[in-house]
Amino acid sequence: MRGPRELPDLGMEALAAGRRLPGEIEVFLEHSTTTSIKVFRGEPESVAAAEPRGAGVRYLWEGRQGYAYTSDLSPEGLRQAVVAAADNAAATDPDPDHRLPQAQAGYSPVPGLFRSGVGATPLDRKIALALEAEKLTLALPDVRMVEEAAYGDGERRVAVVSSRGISAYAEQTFAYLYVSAHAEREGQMESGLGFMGGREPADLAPGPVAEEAASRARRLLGAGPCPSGGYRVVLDRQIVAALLGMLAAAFQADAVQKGRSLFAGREGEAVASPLLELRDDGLHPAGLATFPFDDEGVARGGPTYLLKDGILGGFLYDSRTAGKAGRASTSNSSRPSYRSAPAVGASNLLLSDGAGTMEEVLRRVGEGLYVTEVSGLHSGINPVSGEVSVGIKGQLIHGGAPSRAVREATLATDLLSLLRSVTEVAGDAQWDYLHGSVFAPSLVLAEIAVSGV
Amino acid sequence: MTKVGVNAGLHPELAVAVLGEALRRGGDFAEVFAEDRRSLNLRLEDGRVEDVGSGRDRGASLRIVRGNTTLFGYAESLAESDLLALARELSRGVSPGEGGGAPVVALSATSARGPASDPPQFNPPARATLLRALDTGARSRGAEVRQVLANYGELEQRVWVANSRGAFATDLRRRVLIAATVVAQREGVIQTGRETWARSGSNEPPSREEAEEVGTLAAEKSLVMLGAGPAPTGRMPVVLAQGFGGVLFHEACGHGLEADFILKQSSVWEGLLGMRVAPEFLTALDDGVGAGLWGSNLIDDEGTPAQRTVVIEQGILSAYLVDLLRGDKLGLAATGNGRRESFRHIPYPRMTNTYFAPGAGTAQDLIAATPRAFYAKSLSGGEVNPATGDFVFGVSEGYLIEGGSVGRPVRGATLVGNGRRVLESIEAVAADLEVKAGMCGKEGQMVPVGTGQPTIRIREMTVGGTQL
Repeated sequence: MRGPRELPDLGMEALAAGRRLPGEIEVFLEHSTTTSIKVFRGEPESVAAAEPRGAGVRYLWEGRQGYAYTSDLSPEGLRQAVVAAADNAAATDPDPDHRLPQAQAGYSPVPGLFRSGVGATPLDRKIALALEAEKLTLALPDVRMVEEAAYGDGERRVAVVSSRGISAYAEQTFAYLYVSAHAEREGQMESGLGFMGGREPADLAPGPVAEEAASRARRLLGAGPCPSGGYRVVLDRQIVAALLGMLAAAFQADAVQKGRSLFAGREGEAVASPLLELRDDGLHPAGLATFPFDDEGVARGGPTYLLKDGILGGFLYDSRTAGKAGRASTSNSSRPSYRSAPAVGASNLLLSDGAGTMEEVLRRVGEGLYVTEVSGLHSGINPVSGEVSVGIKGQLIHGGAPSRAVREATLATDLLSLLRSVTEVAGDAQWDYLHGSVFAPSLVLAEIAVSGV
Repeated sequence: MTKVGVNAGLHPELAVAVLGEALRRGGDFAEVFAEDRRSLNLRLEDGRVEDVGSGRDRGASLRIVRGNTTLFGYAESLAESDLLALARELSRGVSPGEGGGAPVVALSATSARGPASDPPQFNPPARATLLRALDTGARSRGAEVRQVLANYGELEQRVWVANSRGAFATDLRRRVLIAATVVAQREGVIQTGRETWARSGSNEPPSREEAEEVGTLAAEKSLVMLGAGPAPTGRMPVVLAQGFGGVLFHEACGHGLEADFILKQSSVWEGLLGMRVAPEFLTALDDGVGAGLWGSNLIDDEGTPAQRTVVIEQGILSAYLVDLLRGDKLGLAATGNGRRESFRHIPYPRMTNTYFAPGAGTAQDLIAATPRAFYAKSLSGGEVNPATGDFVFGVSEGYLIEGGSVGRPVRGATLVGNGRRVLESIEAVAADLEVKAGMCGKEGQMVPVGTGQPTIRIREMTVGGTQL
C-alpha cells in the first residue's frame, strides 16, 4: 500500500489516464486512519481501527457531469474510475453554466489543524479516557447505568487535483469522547448524552462529559404530562445547534435556485429576529469543519454572513451554483466521503452569542417551558416548507427557576416564525458536533403552542 | 503472494488461513466478512438528469472476540496478502493468554446464492429515461408542481462470511430504488410530497409506467397537503394507515427488542419474554425472508440464515432480535438479525422487515366504525429512546376522521407516545397488510428495512399539531 503523502501523485496519475478525453477531470482522494473505542462496565467492548481510503472522479464535458469512485487506488483502478465517470457523464443533461473551479491563487494555512497527539497517544491511554468517562459518570447521583462510553479519533488526509489546475493537499486530526447515561428514580428512567470534540486526545476531558450526560438525564427524572397551551419557551443550546444543522439546507444555493428553500427570493428581507447573527466560517480556529479548502479544492476565505441583524444576507455556494448565479463560490462544496459527488454544504455554522447565564435567563423568563431534549428532528423538520413538528422534553419554568419535568409533549411551528419569535439570546454558546460543526447559544422564544395533555 | 480474481471473493481456504492467523495469539471467536459492491445512482432536478455516479467497494473486515472485547479492523482490498496482514495486525491487540485461541472449525457452507454471475452492466442512459418519465408524471398534475427531485439507485452486493465456528456463507444481493420528492406551491404555501418504489432480490428496474406513477403519486400528495389545515392538538384516537404506518411498530417496539439493548438492560422490553404486552389479537413479525421485501436477504451479515421471527404472538412477547455474540451471552439462538452497513462496520442486532400480521376486515370498515380520530396516512419517519420507550414520528400526510369518514387534510402533526402503552392500546387491526421500503439508522450505520402493517386504530395517542 502506498503512503498517504502520495495522494496528490495518485491524483495526477488519474488525470494522466484521462488526458485523451475531451472533458475536464477532477480527482478527490482521501486517506484516513481512525480509531473508535467503546467501553462497557469497566472493560473495552469494541476497539476498531480502520484505514478508509479511496478516490472520487468527477468528469465534466459540455456541462454534463459524471462521477465514479473506487477504493482501488492502483493505476488500473483509477483508470477504470475515470472511464466510468466519463461514461456516466454521457447519460446526463447539460448544464451550460457548469465548469469545474479554476486553479486557486493559494491556500491559507490553518495552524494546528493536524496534531501529533492522535498518532502519538498509545491505544491503552485512549481506552483509559473512555473508561474514566464511564467511571466518573457512574459516580454521579441518580445514574443507574452507562449504556455506552466511547472515544474516537482520526487523522485525515485529502487531496484535490484537476485538469483545470487545482492542486490542493491538507491534513487534519480529530478526537471525541462521549457518554450515554441512564438515570433512574422510582422506577422511571431517563437518558442523557455528553459529548466533547477536539483535535487530539489532550483536548478532551472526561469530567465535563460525564457531568453533562448525567445532568441531562437527571433533570428529566420524575417527568410527567405537560399541559397543552402557549408557553414562553427556552430552547437549550444543544437543540438550537440541532435546528441550525437542519436549517442549513435552506441556505444552500442549490435549494434556493431550484425553489426548494423557504428563503428563496428573500435576500435583504428581515426573516429573523434582529437579535440573530448567523455565519458560515470555514476557517474558524475552533471549528471541526475547518480546512484550507472545500471539497472541490476552492480556497476557504472569510466568513459568509447568512443572517445579520435578522436580515437574510446571503447563501452558501459551490462552483456549480455560483456559475449559475454569476458570482464567486463561497467555498461551500462538501461531500461526506470520496464515495459521493460534491454538493453545497455548510462548514462551521456560528450563531453569535448573547449575554447572561442560564440562571439569569430563566429568572427573566419567569414562567414558561425550558426545552432540553427534542426528538424526531429528521422526520419533523421540513427545510422546504419550513414546517417544524417535534417531540420535546424539558422542565416547566416557574417563579424564574426550573421546576417539574415534563414529557410526551410536542412543539409545532414553522422555521420562519421560530426565527422571528426569538426575544433573547443567552450568553452560553458552545460548540456542538452532533449535528455538524455548530456554535450556538440557548434562545428564548415568544409564546409558542405546545401540545401535551 | 497471489491475488484472488477480480470477480472471485473470499475462498474458503483463504478464509481459514485468515481466521487461523487472527486467533494465533488467543481469542474465542474470529470472523471475516468480505464484500464486493457496485452501485449506480442518478439524480434528476429542474427537469434535467444532473448527476450520474457509480462506484465500487471491495474489501473485508475482521473481528476477533476475546471475553467481552471485540477487536475490529478492515482492509479496502480482497488480496490475500492484505487480509493476512490485517489478521496479524489485529491479533496484536489480543493480550497474550495461555497459548493460542479457539480452534478454527473446518468451514461448511450454510447457504449460498449464485453462482457468482458476471458483474452488472449498468445502463445509465436507460435509467435516465425512467427519471424523465417520473418527472413527466409529476408535472402532469398541473402548474402548482414547482420542482421535482428524483433519485434512482441500483446496487449489487456480494458477500462472503466465514467464522471460526465453521460457518461459511455467501449471498448475492440486488436492490433497485426510485424515489421522488415533489415541491408544490400555492399562494406562498409550499408543501412537499414523497413517494418511493423499491425492489429487493432483483436488479430489474421499474417499468416506464411504474416510474411515471411514482412521480404522479408524489405530486398528488404535495397537492393534497397544499389544501391542508392546521393539525389538531391533544390526546385522541389515531388511525394509522397500512404500509408506512409500520414505522409505529419499528420505533415503538422493534428497536427495544434488539439484543444489544436487551443485554445491556437498557430496553423497556428486557425481562418481558413470555409476558402479555399487547391485546390477544395482535401478532408482530420480523420477516427477513419475505420475497421482494426491502429488508430481505438470504443470510444476515454474520452468515446466519435469514428467518421469519414471530416477536409478538397473540399479544405475548415471544422473541428478541438476536445476533451471534449477544445470543451467546443471553443464551438465545441467533435470529438472523446481525446486520451491518458494509464491510467497514461492526454488525449490530437490527430489524429486517417488521410488521403486524393482518387482522380481519377492510380499512374502510375500520374507518367507518371510527366516530372521530386523527388519520395518519403517511409517516415521514421517527425516533425512539429504547431505554424509556418514548418515541416520536412525523406525519407527512394526515386527515381528520369525522363520523366514520375521512375528512379534511391537516398538516404539521407529530405523534408522540410510549412503546409499551401504545401497544396495549391498539384496539383494531384490518387485513390490508402492506410493507414499504425504508432506511434505518443506528450506531451511525444505515441498513435497508421494510416497515409495514395493516390499517390499525389506537385508542388514544398524543397528537401534536398547531391548533390548540
